[in-house]
Amino acid sequence: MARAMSKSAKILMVGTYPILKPKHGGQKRASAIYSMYKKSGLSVRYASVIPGKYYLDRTKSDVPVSIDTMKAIEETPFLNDIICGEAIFSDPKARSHMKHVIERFRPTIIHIEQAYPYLGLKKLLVAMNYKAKIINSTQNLEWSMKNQMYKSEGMDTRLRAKIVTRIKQLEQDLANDAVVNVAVSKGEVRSLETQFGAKNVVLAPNGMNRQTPKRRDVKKWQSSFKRDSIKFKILFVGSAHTPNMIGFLQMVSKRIGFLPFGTRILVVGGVADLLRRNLNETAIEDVCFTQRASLLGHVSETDLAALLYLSDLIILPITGGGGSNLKTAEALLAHKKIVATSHAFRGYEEYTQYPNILIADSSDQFRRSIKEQLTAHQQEYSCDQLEKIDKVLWENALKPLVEKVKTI
Amino acid sequence: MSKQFWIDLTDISDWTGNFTGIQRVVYNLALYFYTNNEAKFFRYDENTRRFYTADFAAIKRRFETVLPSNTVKAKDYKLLIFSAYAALPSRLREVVPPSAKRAIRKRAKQVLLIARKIAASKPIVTASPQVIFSPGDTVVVFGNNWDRSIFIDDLARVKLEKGFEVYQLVYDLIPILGPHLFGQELFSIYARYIFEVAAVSDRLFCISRSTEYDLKVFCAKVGLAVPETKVVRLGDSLASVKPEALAELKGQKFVVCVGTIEIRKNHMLLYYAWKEAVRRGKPMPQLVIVGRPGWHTEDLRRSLKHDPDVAKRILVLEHVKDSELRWLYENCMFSIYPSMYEGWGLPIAESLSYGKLCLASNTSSMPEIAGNLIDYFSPYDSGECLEKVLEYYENEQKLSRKEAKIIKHYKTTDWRQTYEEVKGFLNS
Repeated sequence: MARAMSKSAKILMVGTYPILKPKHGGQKRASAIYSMYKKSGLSVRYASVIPGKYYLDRTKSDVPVSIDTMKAIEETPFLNDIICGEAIFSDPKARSHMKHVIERFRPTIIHIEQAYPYLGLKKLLVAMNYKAKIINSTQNLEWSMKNQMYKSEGMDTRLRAKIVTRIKQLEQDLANDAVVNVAVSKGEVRSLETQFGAKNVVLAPNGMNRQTPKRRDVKKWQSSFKRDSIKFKILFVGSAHTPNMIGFLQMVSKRIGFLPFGTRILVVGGVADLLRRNLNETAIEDVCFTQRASLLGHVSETDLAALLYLSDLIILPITGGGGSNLKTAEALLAHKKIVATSHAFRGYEEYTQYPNILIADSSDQFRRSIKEQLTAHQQEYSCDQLEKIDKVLWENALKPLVEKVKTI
Repeated sequence: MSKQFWIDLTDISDWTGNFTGIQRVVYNLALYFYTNNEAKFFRYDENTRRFYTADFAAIKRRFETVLPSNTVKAKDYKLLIFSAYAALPSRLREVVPPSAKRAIRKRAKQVLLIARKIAASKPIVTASPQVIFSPGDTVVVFGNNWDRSIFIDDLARVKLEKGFEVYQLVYDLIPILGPHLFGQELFSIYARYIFEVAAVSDRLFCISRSTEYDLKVFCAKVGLAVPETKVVRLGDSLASVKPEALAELKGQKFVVCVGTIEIRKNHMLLYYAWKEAVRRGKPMPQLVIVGRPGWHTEDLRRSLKHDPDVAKRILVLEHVKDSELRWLYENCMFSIYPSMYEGWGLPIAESLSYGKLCLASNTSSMPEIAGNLIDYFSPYDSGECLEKVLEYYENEQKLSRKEAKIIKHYKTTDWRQTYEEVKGFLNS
């Protein structure tokens, strides 16, 4: 019966970023969910309202906000997701686009990715007198994560309190209205249930696709490492999400003279740009930092696959932010030595006792663990362990969500 | 089995002209290892990024030929040609009087002599076999190769492959501690260089406790474990040249200050002290500044030259021969050294070796040289500096007592002693 219902279900996924060429974690998760719905035979569309300047890779379903809204985004840093969410109703261009999508596609289910679109979409649905079942797909406990982030960015206390209260209210509202609530970790399942009284909470952890490097990319990086006398490669991958940088500075710091010559931390992703901006050319530790760290920044998916393949150690110095870490799944699937915080393994707790993995929650311990891993022997995983690691593949991680949606 | 020492001569292999302070250190220490047949020598080639054997005997021959005579620079060469040209009467060319011919001939001979010396001082870089270091070898670097940015990386790379020991001598961290004294660009180059020096070395020599302290602070800041360190006292024995008097100073009471005129050496303080003495109506000794013009001192040099208050009281000598320097030390009342920061402070030690008091700055390594044998002042207090100068200028008895104490207690360090200290640490 449930299966028969799902045949006629039409799912509209709504976000505040495109998923054409996913770069950050949010995009990757939304893209994976979209693919999983599709693979499962469900009728699905993705539409978003976005700050056009920030996302050049997009489809016709991703509509940039108007010039006025874009100006507002640029004038108020860190609020772009809230502004884009509101724009779905308040920005004529965005509203008309979303209305058009809904009218043409006639979704029976609207999947809200990361709460914010619901700010404007709820009003739009009321205005259109349109009824659809709502899925609240969370990636973090947004109010808590934003509170931490705004605090570290030095936002005015009163303004921060006002915005955070608003986000909390939004999450409450969405949890009330949703027929299914999706969480990424056990901790967040509990939070949704206890803080917001959410019903029908399904756990669908973050995952990753299996990465297969291309021989050409591997050769290219190998010769680059040889040229720079890099023998031991430590990989740190992170988006330009402030907690990624804060975690790195807290756990590893810029004082990385403890790494011997021939060892290099390869910093990949937007976090490299954040770190670069944070470097002061008149500070001794900052100048010497790049003797042992290469700030590679954004690399292609195929280059990342090669770097994962060639790295000797992957570090996950995550100390803040909500949700579960996509990079943890990536590291597990790479079968490399890992040094991580407990926070980075939220949602992946069952793997913390695996060989090759060291968990360290203080800066001293983290740095010591990195040193230990430099000389530690890489151990082979058992078949059982390998099978369990495969649970972090998107196709396995999102299975509970798809099953649940099919029952709506 | 004794260790195989490899001593780096890169600093002096491709050098032309007279050696600078650091090159003299490299030479003097290498000389003992060479004489006692205790080491092999190598140099680094930036183009091939490889290490080659170096011929110390050839460097020694060149050193002995060029060093005892006085500095021969392209600038001097140019000056002489210019003076030969200028010796010609302006309208001449066709008719040259015999006296002018003699003058031209004399200068031409000088030019020829100098040209020969320059030719003789070409770098000793000949085709030589590549050095393959072995595990168990000890590589010793007395030079300061910060300006060869990849030297240290390549040494570290080869060490990683072969697993030998590395010892290096650290002179100072001044470009890191005082970037304003050199320029921001040097700050990052030097910081990265010292970072790798400390990272790659098993043990380090420092030329003063002050430098050792600075190095430890640096290591802590960048997260490096500090290698074992040993402070060695550099030789300050004097050059065996005959003193040559400077006619314009004969019979005068003067104070000498030796060092390149650069911002760090702080000649500005002396300028202010001498100015203040004029303002107070206090007679002062003639100040003789011996040093080539350096960076960031254009304003000061203009003031010294054109300020009527001091133009006759401060004499700047840019090109002084070793023999003249000896005469200056021997005949001065005392010397003065107002440097803001030093890795060691050789002019202080030199002055004491001549039995002369040196009034010096009370910062960094300088008080290590002679402790309470000499007097100090803050390099940022021209009033204090002036009081010290007047204290000894106005009281010659006090100065004589001070000199007697210096002659009795100051012990010159022979390069052999430095070598023995170095060797002891290498073998320990």
